[in-house]
Amino acid sequence: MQEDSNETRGLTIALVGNPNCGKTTLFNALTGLRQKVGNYPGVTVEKKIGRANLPGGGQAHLLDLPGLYSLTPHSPDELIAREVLLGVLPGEPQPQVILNIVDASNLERNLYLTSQLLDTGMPMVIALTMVDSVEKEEGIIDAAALETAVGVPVRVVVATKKQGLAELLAAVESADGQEVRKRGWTLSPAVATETLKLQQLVQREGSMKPRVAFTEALTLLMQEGENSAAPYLPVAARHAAQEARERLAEQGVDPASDIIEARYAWIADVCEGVLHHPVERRRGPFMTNDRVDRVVMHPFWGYVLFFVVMAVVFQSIFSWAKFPMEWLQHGVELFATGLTKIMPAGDLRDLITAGVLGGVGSTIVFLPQILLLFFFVSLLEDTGYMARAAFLMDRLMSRVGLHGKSFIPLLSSFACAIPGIMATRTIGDRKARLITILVAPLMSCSARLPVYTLMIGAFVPGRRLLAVPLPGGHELTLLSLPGVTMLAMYFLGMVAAFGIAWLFHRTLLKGIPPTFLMELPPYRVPSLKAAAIQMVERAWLFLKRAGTVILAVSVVLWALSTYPKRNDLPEKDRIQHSFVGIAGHAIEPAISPLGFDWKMGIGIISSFAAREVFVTAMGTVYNVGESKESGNVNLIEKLRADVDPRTGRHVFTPLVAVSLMVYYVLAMQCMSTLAVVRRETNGWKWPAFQFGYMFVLAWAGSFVTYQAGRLLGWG
Amino acid sequence: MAARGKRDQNLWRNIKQTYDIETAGSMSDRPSSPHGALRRKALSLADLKPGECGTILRLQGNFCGRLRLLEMGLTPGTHLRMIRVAAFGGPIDIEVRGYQLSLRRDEAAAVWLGDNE
Repeated sequence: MQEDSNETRGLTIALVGNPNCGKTTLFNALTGLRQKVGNYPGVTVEKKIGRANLPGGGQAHLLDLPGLYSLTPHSPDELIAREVLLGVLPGEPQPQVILNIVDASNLERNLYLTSQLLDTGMPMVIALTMVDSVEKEEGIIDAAALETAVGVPVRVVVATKKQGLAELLAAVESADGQEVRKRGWTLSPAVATETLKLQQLVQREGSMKPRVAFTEALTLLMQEGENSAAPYLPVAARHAAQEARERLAEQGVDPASDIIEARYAWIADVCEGVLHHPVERRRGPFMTNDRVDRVVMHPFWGYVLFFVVMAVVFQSIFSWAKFPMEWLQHGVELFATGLTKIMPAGDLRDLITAGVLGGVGSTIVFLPQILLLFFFVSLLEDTGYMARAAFLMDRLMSRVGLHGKSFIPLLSSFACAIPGIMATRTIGDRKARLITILVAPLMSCSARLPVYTLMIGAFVPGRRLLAVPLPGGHELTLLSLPGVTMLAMYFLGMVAAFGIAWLFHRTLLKGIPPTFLMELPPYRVPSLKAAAIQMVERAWLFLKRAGTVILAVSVVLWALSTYPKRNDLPEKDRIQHSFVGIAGHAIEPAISPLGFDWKMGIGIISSFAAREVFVTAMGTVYNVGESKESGNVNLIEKLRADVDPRTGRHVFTPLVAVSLMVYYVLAMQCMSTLAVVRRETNGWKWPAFQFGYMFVLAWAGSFVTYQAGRLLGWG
Repeated sequence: MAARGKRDQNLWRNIKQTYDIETAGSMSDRPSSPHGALRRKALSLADLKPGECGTILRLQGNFCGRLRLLEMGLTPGTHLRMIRVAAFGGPIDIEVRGYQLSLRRDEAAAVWLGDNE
C-alpha cells in the first residue's frame, strides 16, 4: 500500500546533519547528477533537491538542507531548515522522512542535533558515516546498539565507495509513516513544568501538532531576546516564555543550560553503550591531525604556508584564467563578425552584435575565474584547510569587523569581485559576510587595469626611481614612476576597503554582534567530484541570475549610445549626439571639479556597465580605429594632444589622469558585481547602497586629489 | 620588576594566575573575594596555556553566543583541553567532546573553569 502511494507522489526525504559530516558526499552519491539548485523564497539560503530511485520502485525527492549544528535558529540557514522540518514554511511541504547523517568520529556533538530531530517525532533514519576513521583509531562503534538506544533505524554508509546506499534507501522507504517513539532524555522537574505549559499554549494559539509545539516551547525557553524567536509564533507565546524564564530565574534555574545539559546527559548514556575506544582514547583522534596542525597552524610556518596557498589561488585566477577568458572573448567576437557578414546592416544587426553579444561576452568572460576560484574554495573547505586559514587570519580581519574567512573573497577580488562575492558564502558570521561583500569591489580588479594602463601610459613619465646596474652596461629597473603609480592605485583600493569595513563595523552594522565559533574539522581527502559539482553549480547560478540583468543593462546602454540616430553626421560625432553624449555634456558641471570634461563623462557613463569599456568609449569619442595595439598608441597621442578650445589648455594632464584613476579605483562601475550582490543579499537594498557609497567615495576621492593637486601647483 | 629574571617572571605569573592577587587594573571584572586577597581564582578558558586542561564551571553572562557555546557541547562539567593559541592575540583552538573547536578570546573569556563542588 505504501509503495502505491510512493509511486504517485514520490517520497520527500530531508537530509539533515552537522557541517563536515559527509552530508554532501552522501547526497551526491545518492542522486548522482540529478540535482537542482535554487533559493528558498525571500532568503539567500540555498535549496538543493535531487532525485533517487527507491529499491521498492518508487521515486524519492531528496532535499539537502544546509549543514546545521542545532535546530535552534542562530542563522538564516538554521531558521529555514527548522521551518522546513517542522512544516511551517509556507509553500514547502513537510518532508515525510528525515535522513539524519551522523559522523561516527564526532558522535557526541552530532547526536545533539539528532536528539532535537527525534523530538519532532517525524519518521527518521540515521546514516552513520566516517565509521572507517573511528576504526582507524582502533575504536569500535556498535551500529546495532545505537539503533536500540536511539530508537530509529541506523545504517552504516561509505558514500565515497557507494557502500550501504541501497540498504539505507530501503530503510528510509520502510520508515515512511513510522512515528518516532517517545523521547529518551528527561528535563528537570522545574523546566519540564514550564515547558508543558508553554507547549499547551503554542499548541492552542498556533494550532500546531503536539510534538512540533514541544520543540517550539523548548526553543522559546532557551532563546533570550524576542526578536530571535521564530516569527510565525503567536506573540502571546513569546510573552509567556519571557514570564516562564523569569519564574525559573527566581528559582536559580537557567533553562537553556538545563535543557542542553539534559540532552548531553542522554547522549553520554548512548555513547557509553555504542562507542568503545582503546585506553589511550584521549589524544587518539588527534594524533595525525595534531602533527599536521603543528605545521599548518604554526605561528611562523603556518603563515608561510598560507601565503604560498594564497599565491597559487591568486595566480590561478589572475593569470591562468586569462587564457580561457581570451578564448571566450575571441569566440564571441568571431561570432559577432560572422553575424555582421551574413546579416544585412541595420539596427537589428547592431543590437545583436553590439548589445546582446556585448552583454553575453561581458558575462561569460567571468566564467573561468568563477570556475577556478570555486574549485579552490571547495578543495580548501573539504580538506579542512579553510578553517585553519581563517584561524590564522582572524586577528587581522576582526579588527575591522571582518572574519578570518573574509581573506579569500577579498584576495580573489583583486582578480574580479564577482567570484569573490560569491565565495563569501563560506563566512558563517552574517555581519562579517555583509561587510566583506560591501568592500570587496574596492579591491582593484583586473577590469581596472586597461584604464590604469591607458592613463599611466599616456601621462605618467617613465622615470626610473631605483635601478641596479647589471654587468654589460644594462640596468635592472626595480622601481619606476609608472610602476609606483600602479602600485599606489592597488594600495589605495586596499586601504579604502579596510577603512570602509572598519567604518561600517563601527557605525552602520554596529548592532549586530560578531560570532566566530568555528569547528576545525579533521583533515580529509577532498573529493574532486564534489569540487566539480560545486564549480558547475556556481557557474550556472551566475549565468542564470547575473546574466539576465547584465544582458538587459547592456542592451539599454547600447540603445542609449546609439539613439537618437544621426545618420547625417560623420561616424565620429554620432556618439556625441546620442543620449549618452547628451548625458556626458549634462554631467560636465558635476565632474568638472574632478578635472573631467564631457568626453570623460561619456567614458564614465558608458563604462557604467564594465570599467574596461572606458578605453573603448574614449576610442570612439576620439575616433581612433579599433585595432588593438596601434589603437592604444593612437589614442594616447590624441589624448595628449587634446586641447580645450575654450581655455586653450590641455584637457588631460597628469593630475587629471591620476584623478580619473582614483575615480576608477573607488567607483562601482560594474553592473555584473551589482547583479551578484543583489543575488547574494537577496534584494536591491544593499547593491543600491553599495553603488551609492562607492560613488560618493569616488567623487570625493577624485575631488580631493584634483583640488589638492591644483593647490600644490601640479595641475 | 624589570630586573627580574625570566624564570622569576614566569613563577610570578603562575602565582598570579593560581591565586587572585589584586593588582591595579587587572581582573577588575571578577567578583572580589570576601576572604581577602589570596583565594583560588576562577580561571577562564582564555587563561589556559597550550596543553592545559580544565573543566567548565559555568558560562558567564548573557552574551548572545552563550547558547551556541552550550549547544556546541560546552556545558558545565565538560572537560576540555587547550591545544594552541593563534599569534598576536588571535583565536584559540581547543579540544572538547572529541572534536576541535576554535573561538575568539573574548568568547573564551566567558567560559569559567573550575570544579563544581
